[in-house]
Amino acid sequence: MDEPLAAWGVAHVERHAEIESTNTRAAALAKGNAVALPALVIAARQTAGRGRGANRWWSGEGALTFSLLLDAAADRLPAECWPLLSLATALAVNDALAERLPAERVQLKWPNDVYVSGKKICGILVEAPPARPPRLIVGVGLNVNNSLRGGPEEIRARATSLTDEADQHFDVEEILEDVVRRMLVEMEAVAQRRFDLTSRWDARCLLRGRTVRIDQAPSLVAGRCLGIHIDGSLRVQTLDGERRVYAGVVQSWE
Amino acid sequence: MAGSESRSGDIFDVDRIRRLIELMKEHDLREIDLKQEDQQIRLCRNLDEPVPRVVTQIAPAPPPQVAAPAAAASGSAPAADEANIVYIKSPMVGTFYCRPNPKAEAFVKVGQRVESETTVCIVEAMKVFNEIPAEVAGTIVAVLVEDGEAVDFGKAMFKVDTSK
Repeated sequence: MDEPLAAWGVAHVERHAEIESTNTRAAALAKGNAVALPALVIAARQTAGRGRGANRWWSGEGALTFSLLLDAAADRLPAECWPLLSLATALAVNDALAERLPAERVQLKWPNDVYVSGKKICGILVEAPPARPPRLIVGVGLNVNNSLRGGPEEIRARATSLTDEADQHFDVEEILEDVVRRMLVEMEAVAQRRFDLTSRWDARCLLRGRTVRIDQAPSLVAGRCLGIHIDGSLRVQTLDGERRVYAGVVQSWE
Repeated sequence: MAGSESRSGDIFDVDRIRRLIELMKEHDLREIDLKQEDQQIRLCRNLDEPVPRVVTQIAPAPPPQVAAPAAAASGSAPAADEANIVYIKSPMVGTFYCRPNPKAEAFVKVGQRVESETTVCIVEAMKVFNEIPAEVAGTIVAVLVEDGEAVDFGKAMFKVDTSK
């Protein structure tokens, strides 16, 4: 069953019917140093999926949730590459979705959210546990067959799923294989320093040309988004000139 | 691109500051931090106080990116009186956090002993949360960056005395 994943270089696959969070499980695997890497932790259902900070990622039955645990040194991914990897993962998901939906509806919200028709469909959480040798965890939560149509209005206004957008049921396993394969291809490009970010990102950027507000608690950056910089930061034209934003949450765009 | 001639928009202009204060009130902001080349201004507002106070002024002549403490760049040859001093540097560009979350205690304090695997801070960039281990054993003698401050690749964040 996991042969296609092995063919792409995944050395260990763990499948859980239900788990708190695939990122938390991957961190435990990193600590134990017990499995071959890259390792993939897949969950049919997460009960305590995590997002940035204290945010939670809700994933009902039919969502695709997994974490890829990487050996950063063996994969030639030193820490300075990790921010780019965060964006590269979003591009991988973007391209997988663009094969299944009208491509122009799929967009990227810096730094690594994927949106369809203006609603969030995928969240990515990259974490680096304090392990030596260094390990990197790339967690992906993608709404596939978990229709949000029956959900509360507040969620439906902000989030969507593949099935809601395409009006059909999808093979989650096939999407998993496709996304992981694309992630590994992007990762290799990052490792070889030939990752093409700016032209690909700007063509799919949800924020470019819009007025954005970025919360960098306790401060706030506001201005017109000029697109992405080659190092992965967001270019924002503020009252005082162009700024590059490396951290924080884009709260609003209009 | 941010031109080097954008002096017309002097960030210390009184009207500009007045506008910033209005913006802070309008959006109920506690702090605004602006940097432009070698100038920096930070306005903090105590929510009980109607008027913000200016806490930071002009940075020293070299831009902050290169203004890391003198010894930071000298990884190979520490000064004589700093024979046992090692700097923990940022492995990537990002934002420095001294604590795991806003409500928690700082990972480490001045005077605290750290081991090689002790987590000393988090650097966030593009939503990657990198927990930084000390990678050296010793005692923290200085924290060189403030919580929430932007750090460059190689920026010295902690000063560690390995003899203690």
